[in-house]
Amino acid sequence: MTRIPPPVLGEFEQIVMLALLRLGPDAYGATVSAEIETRSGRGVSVSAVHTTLERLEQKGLVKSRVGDPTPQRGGKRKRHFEVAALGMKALQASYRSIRNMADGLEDLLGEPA
Amino acid sequence: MTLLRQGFGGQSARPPYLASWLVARAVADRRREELLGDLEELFQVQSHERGRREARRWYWRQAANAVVDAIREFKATWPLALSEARRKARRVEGPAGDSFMQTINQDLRYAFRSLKANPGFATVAVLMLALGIGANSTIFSWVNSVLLDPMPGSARTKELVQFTYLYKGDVMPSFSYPDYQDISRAAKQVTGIIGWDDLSVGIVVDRDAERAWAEIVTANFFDVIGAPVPVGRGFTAQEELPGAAATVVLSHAYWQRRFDGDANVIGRQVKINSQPFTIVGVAGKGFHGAVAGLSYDLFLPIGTQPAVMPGGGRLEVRGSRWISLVGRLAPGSSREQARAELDSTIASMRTAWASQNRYVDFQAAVFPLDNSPDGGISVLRPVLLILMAVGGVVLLITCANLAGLLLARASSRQREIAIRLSMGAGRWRIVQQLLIEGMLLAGLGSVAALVALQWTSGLLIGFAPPSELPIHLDVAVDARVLWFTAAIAIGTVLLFALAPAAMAAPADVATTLRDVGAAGRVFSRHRLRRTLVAAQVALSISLLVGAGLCIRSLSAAAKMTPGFQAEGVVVGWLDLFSAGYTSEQGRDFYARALDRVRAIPGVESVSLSRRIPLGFMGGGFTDLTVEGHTVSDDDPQGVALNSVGPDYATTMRIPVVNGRDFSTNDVSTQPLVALITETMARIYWKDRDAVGGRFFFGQPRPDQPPQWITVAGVVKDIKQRSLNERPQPAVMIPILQFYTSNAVVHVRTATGLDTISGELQRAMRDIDPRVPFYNVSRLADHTKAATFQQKLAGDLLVVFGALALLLAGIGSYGVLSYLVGMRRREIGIRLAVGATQGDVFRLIAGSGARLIGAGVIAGLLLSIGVGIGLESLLIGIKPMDPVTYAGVIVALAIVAATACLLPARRAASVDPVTTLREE
Repeated sequence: MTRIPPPVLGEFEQIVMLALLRLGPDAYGATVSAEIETRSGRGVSVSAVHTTLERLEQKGLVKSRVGDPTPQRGGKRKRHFEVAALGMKALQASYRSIRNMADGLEDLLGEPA
Repeated sequence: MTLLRQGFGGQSARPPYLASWLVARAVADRRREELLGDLEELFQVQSHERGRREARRWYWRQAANAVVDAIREFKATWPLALSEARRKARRVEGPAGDSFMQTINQDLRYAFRSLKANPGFATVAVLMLALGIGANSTIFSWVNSVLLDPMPGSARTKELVQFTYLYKGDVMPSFSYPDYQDISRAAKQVTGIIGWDDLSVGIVVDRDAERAWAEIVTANFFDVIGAPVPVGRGFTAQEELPGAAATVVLSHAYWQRRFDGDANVIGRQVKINSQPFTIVGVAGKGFHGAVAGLSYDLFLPIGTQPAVMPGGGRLEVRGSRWISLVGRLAPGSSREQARAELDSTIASMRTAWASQNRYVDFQAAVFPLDNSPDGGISVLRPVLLILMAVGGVVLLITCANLAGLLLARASSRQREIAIRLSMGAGRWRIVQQLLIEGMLLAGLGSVAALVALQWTSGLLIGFAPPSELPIHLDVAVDARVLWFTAAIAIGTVLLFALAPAAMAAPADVATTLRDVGAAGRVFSRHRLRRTLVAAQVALSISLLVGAGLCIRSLSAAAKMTPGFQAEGVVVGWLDLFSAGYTSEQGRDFYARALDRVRAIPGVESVSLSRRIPLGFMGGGFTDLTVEGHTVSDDDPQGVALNSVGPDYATTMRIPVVNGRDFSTNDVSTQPLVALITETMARIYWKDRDAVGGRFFFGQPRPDQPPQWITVAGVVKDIKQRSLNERPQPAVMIPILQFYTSNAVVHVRTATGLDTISGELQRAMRDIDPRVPFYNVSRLADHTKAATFQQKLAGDLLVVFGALALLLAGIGSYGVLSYLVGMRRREIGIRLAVGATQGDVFRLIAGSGARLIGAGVIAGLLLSIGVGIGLESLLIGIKPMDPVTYAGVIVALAIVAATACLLPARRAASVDPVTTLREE
């Protein structure tokens, strides 16, 4: 039986999914944006994060559930995301590709911050 | 991000409202709440960490990103979204395959049923629309024929121009024939110039005599004007020479009327002013001559002038100015170039003929033929433009009224609309249905308007005062008028139906179903109605101010003494020339006629005059030399000249300030005398006594002794051409000494027109039945030509202004009644807790006053514009005339009071017990 390979992830999609893994049950739009900003040092558009998460959900790579509203959010609800099985596979495949491509180039690429 | 994970307590600031509103609008439903929540949460963090200002900046950046992302996403999925939307619309519309046309059909039938169920509303609406649309269609039909197609039957009318000269600011249209020849030879900027004049003639066809109007023209007339002569031919160059064969071209209308369109009319002989003429051609259908607004029956070659015009041969006399000049601009030439060319021609004439004629102070002026100050169109043009504005205002008022009606009706249809919305009808479908209903009403109104148009379009000519001229305004209802009516109807629907339709079908279905009568939305509808009423009040005020200004202008004009008293004078035209009278016979006829008429009981006095003052026709002009007066460049080029009979000043009640009036003794055997006006005495005799002074006509001629004329009397100035003119020097010579074959009998009498007309006809017939005596009418009617514009504008403005005020009053009443109805419960409560009836009355009346007050202020501002627009028409009063404004405000106050008092009284008489019991 031919295995259908998991979908290839775009760069930002990978970043977002990694953030989901880091945050675990606490992963929703605001926390994901904050985590990416802190860790990668780049400015993040919350809207872009939302769009990416929506696309990932459409592709079946993440799952979402509605979360409770809080006063800090003006009473608006959250949406928690978590990496689905297919997403995990896709992420692993991405990571493998990068690792393979970067193999032996550590000196040029430098140490992570 | 520990702060975030901990979730610090409490809310500090809210994110910028506008930014979050933008995000909410841009982003799709499903993500909106979460995104906004995330943004707000992060905003709190930013605010805490970096301060409010930084946080706000951050928030705006995020909002911008969100909007851009939304746009990008939208653009990417646009084709998808469109087909998705289409699919959704189709699914919802009803049975599969409902095309656009089918929906229109359904809506039409529904609209029909709906209107039938409300016949009262339908009738009022259709009537109002018929009025608004009809008024505009009628006015446009007038504008269409008078301004857009003033000279039917001619080619490329825009290229035709009239040559005139300005003399001391006045426009002089007449040139002499030798002048015409010089100008025609020198003119390169035009492809041709025609010369023409008109006259009233007696024509005998097969022994039947009648009067007709003829245009006497140069041979190139039909070619230059571009009017073909389909039957027979036009004139040859030969026929322009004096003494040439007497040929005549008939107008199409005259050919039909008098000759029944007989094809064998070419070659027939007729007698024009007792001279034999041969018919050589018939002009094209619809061609009426070279003057817009007038219709000529016959066209004569200019070579026949000596035979057919009284006063002898003029074709060789350079000083005799009687011809109007019309030219066709050559391709690429402009009016300014033609004007400059004419100026240089006049300058060379001035040098060449300085001994015979002065040409001093002449300046060329070239006007487009359809807007020449010499023509009839220039009289009608300002009035028609004002009327178009009035029509627009009436339409706006009608739309405002209808919109108000529809809004009131929309309230009662809330439930029905809500149900349709909830059953899946798209919002636009509802709007479409309401628009179709509006179109149906407008369609019915247009039909009614078009039917009435058959009759109303002919009303224009009814406004023309009686005149000797053959006024003819052909108002046709052609395709352009129909298209205009359709456009107006559609525009009207958009104006009055769109806003109520949009308001009736709000975006939010749930609210509609839940809160029928929710205060917020109803209030905004009410606010629109109030605005509409205020707008109507403003518009009707501006119309009434316009009407008031015109009426005041008319009464000011009436008070302006023209120098004579036209009331009480009956006039009738005599044409001795066409009866073939010599000057001896003519003088005899006049003397006998005066005697006969004087003997008629009821006749106070009688006289004759060559022409009437202040009619549509101009006046005669001559230059003269005065004994003992040093010629200066300040002297007028010429003075107004008229031939009058004995007792002229008495009959016309012109005060004689010095000397005497003409008497029956001033006959040809007696010394030549003249009457002059005060202005003329002032110019030529200054400090000397004018009575007894002498002058002669024309310039001194070395070969001829002068024909001296003695001044017998000085009279007060008379207005000749317009009520606004400066005092003119004028001289009057006795008709019995200076014979003229055409004269107007002036009879001062208190007897009614019909009776005296019969008596006069009998008197003339007794002397000689062959002499035409026609057009017996009141002089006062003729002099009304001077105030024709003000009367027309004033009449229509009064009618429309009153109508507008009535509509505004009804509108106000409607709004206030509605308001009272809405607030019944509130009033009941107020009364129950101790308000007096007076309080309630004042509450409602105050509401009404505020409503109308806003309209009044807007209306007064609009009126200033109206005043400026009417300025050219006003005689003797200023545009900001206080009496007018005061009058309008009083009229408005009365209507406003009535409109407010009734609902206010109803409100005050509300029984609190009953009201509170209602739910």
